[in-house]
Amino acid sequence: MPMNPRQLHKESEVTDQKFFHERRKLVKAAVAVGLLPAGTAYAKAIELNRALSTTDQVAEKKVATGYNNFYEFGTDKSDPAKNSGSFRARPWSLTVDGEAKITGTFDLDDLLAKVDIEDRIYRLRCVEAWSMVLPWRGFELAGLLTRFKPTSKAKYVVFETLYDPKQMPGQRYRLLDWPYREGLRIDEAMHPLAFMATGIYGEDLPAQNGAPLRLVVPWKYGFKSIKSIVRISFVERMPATTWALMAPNEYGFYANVNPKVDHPRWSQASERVLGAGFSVFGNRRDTEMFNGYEEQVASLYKGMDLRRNY
Amino acid sequence: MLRWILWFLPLLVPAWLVWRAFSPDFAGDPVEYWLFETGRWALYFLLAVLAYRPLVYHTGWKKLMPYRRIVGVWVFFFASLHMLVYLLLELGLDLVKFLDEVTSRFYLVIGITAWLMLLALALTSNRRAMLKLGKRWKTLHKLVYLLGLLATWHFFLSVKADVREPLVYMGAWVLLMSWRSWQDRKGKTNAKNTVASVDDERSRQCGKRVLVE
Repeated sequence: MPMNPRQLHKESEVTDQKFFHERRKLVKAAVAVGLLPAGTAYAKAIELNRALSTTDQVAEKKVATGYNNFYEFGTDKSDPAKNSGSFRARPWSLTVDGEAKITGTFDLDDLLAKVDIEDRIYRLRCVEAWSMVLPWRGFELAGLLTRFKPTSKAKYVVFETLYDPKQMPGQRYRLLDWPYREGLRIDEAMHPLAFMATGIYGEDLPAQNGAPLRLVVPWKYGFKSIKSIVRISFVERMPATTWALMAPNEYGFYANVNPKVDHPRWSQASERVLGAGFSVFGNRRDTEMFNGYEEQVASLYKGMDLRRNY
Repeated sequence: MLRWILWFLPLLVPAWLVWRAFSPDFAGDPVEYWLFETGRWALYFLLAVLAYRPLVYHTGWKKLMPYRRIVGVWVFFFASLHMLVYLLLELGLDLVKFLDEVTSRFYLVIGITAWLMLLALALTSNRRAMLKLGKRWKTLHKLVYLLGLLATWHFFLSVKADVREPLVYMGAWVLLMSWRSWQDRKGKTNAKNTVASVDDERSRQCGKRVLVE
């Protein structure tokens, strides 16, 4: 029984809690009488992680699934939704390699069977100075990574997107250095906020949002939240990442949201909030340090010059 | 009568852009959409102005000539809308921020310079200015060629990675400029069906003499 997406918008604690408990009872009963397959994620009720979720207004689903930067499907914001018809999210395998005790290629569903799925409402801030508040569904990245037992040599985690021009027509042009690659320092990857999403608005991720598995790092610019992941590598040296290769003076490895460090071509001091209604002055809001997650992540960067390490 | 219709026809475009952004299937960012579309329309009409000479030369459609001025003013209209969307919707009418941005970001320096040139051309796009400026009017309005470069360059610098569309416009500008220099070299500026001779004829019809190249 998919969760009613509207429930995510309600801030009333009491109603939500009651709904979750009712639904859990209902789902348990449905599984017991064989109405729902026991192996699915729904067998365990999916809850909203309130502690790590924002109470900002969630973006309209049509905007979140219709306005996307996913150059693998084309460079217009509406291209990913339009051009992802050939994309298949299953069967999907994830390869894990590098400095870890357990490596190999795994079927995604096998991996997902062993994770705790929950909902989180995160702010996403694009480097282009727009943002959305999105209700992700997935699991904590740390939970997955620790299963592979990374060694002490694993200082960074690298993620790689699918490369298949047949499914992703935008990859026929060498606009970016395919496959898309992104990375995190190991402590960033193990941070509780680092999230792997498999769903959004209570449903499976649509292709344009990075199906079937994508990273969500809410305190960094959106291009760090790599989509349609096929490989995770544990490495010793800081990896080269796609946008940093494309324009090294504009995009860096850390890419922490920072209103004090401008992009060479535009200011990062403010952003336009999308999907939350229209206002003549463009829904402009001041950008917050670390996208409002300063309290949770600032300690990761103690003593670092964030202007140099942009 | 037709002239009056053509003067007001471009107003349909912003009306359509607003309607489009508020239609239920629009899933984007209205501000970004309006910013890019107003910029594009300014470019379309700018390239149209630059294409006038080749078009009239190759087709002999001298009847098109009186409308070149209108098309030129449309360029100013859309460029101004473009700037207004930026100032009002992007910057929330923060004039201090606006002045800071347009003087410190290179592609915006180019943009504001282009707009100021367009302002000069728009203000002098009437008969009185033509008379007052005489020979200098023609020189001033030759700025339209430089504008083609500035506008396409501004667009090129503003995109994140996909430079294909700006390159198409730059290519069009190069083509039109090449045609012009090819024409000048061939010394055909005094032929009967050139823009210059048409201007001459028209000013004679209006009873006023205007110096042309």
